Amino acid sequence: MKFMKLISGLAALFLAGSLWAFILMRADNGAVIHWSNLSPVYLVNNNSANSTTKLCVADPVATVQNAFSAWNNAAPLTISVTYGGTTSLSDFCGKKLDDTGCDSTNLVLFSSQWEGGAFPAGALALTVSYYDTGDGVLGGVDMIFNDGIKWSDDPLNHANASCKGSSVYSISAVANHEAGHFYGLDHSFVGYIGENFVPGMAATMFPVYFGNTVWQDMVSLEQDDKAGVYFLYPQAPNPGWGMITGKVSSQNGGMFGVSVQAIRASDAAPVLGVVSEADGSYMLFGLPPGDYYAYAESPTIMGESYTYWVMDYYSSADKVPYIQLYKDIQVSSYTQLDAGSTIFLRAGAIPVAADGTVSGVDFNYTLPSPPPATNKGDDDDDEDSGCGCVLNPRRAVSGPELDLASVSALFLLFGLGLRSLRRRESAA
Amino acid sequence: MRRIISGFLFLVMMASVAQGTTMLALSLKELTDNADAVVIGRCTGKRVFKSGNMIYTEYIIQVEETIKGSVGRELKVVQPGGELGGKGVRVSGVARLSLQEDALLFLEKENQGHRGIVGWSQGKFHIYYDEQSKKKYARQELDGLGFAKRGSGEVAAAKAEKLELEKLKTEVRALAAQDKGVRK
Repeated sequence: MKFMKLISGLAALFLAGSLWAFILMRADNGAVIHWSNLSPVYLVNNNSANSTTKLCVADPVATVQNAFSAWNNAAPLTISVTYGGTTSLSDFCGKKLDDTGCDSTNLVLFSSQWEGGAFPAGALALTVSYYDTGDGVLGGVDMIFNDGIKWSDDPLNHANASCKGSSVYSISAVANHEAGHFYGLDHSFVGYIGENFVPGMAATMFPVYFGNTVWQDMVSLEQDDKAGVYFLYPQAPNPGWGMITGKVSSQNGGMFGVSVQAIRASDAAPVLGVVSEADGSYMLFGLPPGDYYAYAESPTIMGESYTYWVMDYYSSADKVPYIQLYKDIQVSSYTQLDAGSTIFLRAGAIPVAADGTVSGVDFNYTLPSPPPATNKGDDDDDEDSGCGCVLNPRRAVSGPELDLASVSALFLLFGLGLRSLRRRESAA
Repeated sequence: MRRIISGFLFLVMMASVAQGTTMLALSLKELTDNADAVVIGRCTGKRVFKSGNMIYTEYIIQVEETIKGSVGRELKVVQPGGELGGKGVRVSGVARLSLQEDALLFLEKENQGHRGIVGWSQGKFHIYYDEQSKKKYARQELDGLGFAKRGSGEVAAAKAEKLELEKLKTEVRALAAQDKGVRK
C-alpha cells in the first residue's frame, strides 16, 4: 500500500506540473534525454587501445564492463546496459544522421580522434549522446577515451612504476562517470559537508576528478547516483526510499533551476541534490529512511553560482540571493552547514520514512525589485530569433514535447503501481 | 571563503584534470599559446548544421576588441553538437554562447571559414557587468569539465574564478607578447 501511495504521490506531482527530479540531461526543449530501449548494447573497440594503455590497464574491456555493471546494479532498474562484444568499428552513430537517424551502435573506443575531429586541447575522454529532440529518446551514445593519455588501473599504487604518477589517470574513475552520462544523467552538485569537499561522499556524477589518492572514491556510486538512475528507469518495488517535495519561490513566482539538497541530519553528509523545475517545484526522490535537513541555493561549485555546469536547458536558471536552510533560515556561510553547527538547532529535521513522502518543504525568497539579472543577462527571453539561443525554460517546459514525456512517465509509474497492486491482490 | 581561495590557488597552479568530458585544465598561458587569436565579442547569431558525421553549431561573433592575432570585425566560431532536423547531438564540454552574450574567446586558427575554441569551454570567458563594483568581469565557463589537482591526491575542486576583465586582458596581452617573443 505504501508503494501505491508513492505511485499516487508521484502521479499527483506529475499532474501538478512537469516535475522531474535530479539533474538529468535534457534536450533544448526540456525533454529528458533517456533510453526507451531498455536493453541498449555497447561494443568496445579494444584494438584501438594503444600499447601504453594495454600495459597499465590489464583489461580495458573489463573496466568498461565494470562501469556499466555498477550502474546496472545501482538499484532495481528496468534498464540493463549490456556488453555486446568487441568490434573493429570506429564510426560513430552520427554517420547516418541525415538519412535514417542513428545507427544505434553504442561504441566505446580509444582514439586520438573523434567524429568531430581532433580532441580539444587537454581532453581525456568524451561522451557523445545522440537523441531525438522531440522526446529526448536516445538513439546512441559513444564514449571515447583519448589514447594519447596514460591510463592506469591504479594511478596511485600500480606495480609498474610507469603506470602511476601525476600524469597517469584512473580509467575506472573516468569510465564510471562517463557511463553515468550514457544512462542520461547530468552532473550533480552533491559533494560538500559545509565548506569541505568530501570525496567519499561526493556523487560519481560530480564533475570533478578528485585526485589520484582518492581515485577509488570516484568509482563507487553514491546515493545521489543511485537515486538518479532509479528515477529514470524505476523497477518496482521501490527500494524503500522516501522523498521530500516542495517549491522554491519568490514574490515573482516559482524559481527555475535552483539547487536543492538533502543532507543527513546525523552528520550533515550530502545525500541527494536536485534542480527545481520551471514552476519552482522540486522532488528529492530516493532518500533512505532517516532525518534530513534541506537547503536551497543557486547551482554552485565552490560557492559560486554556476549554472553552466549543467546543460543548456538550465543555463538561464534563476539565481537565489542566499542559501536558505529549511525552514526560512538564511545561511550566511557554508561553515554553518558543517556537522554539529548550531544553525541546525533552529532548523527542522525532516523525518523521511521508507516509501514516505514529506511534502510542503518550501523555500521562499524575497528578491530585490527589479529581480537581479542572471549570468546570461538579457538573453533569457530570446526564444527563437534564428540565433538558436537558449530557449526560455518557462515556456519550453510547457511545450508538447515535455508534456508527452511527462505523460509517458506517468503511464509508466501507473503501470508499475497497477502491477504491484495486482501482485498483492493475487497474493491475497 | 576557503572555497574561493582554494579555487583560486588551483587556477594559479594550473595543474589539473577534468572529468565529464574529461579534460586537462589549460592555464591562461596555455590557452593563449594555443590560440591563433583572442577576441572580445558578442554573439549575434547561431546556426546549426551538419558536416560529415557530426552536427555542429556555428556562432556569429561581432568582434569588439582583438587582444591577440588579427581577425575581421565578424567571425564564425564552431563547436560540435546541437539540434537539427529532429536529431540532437550532445557533447559534454563544448562551449556554448547565447544571443547577445559577451565573451572573451581563445580561438583556434581559421579553417574553411570557421574557428574552433581552444579547449572548448575552457577557452570561453563569459563577460558580465557587476552592479556592486561597477566593473566588468569575466568568468571561465567550464561546462562539462571538472578539475582536481593533478596527481597529488589533494582534492582541489576548481571553480571558475571571477576575473576583472581589464586585468585579464592585460595578462593575456602580456602572455601573447611572450609567446611572440619565444617564436621569434
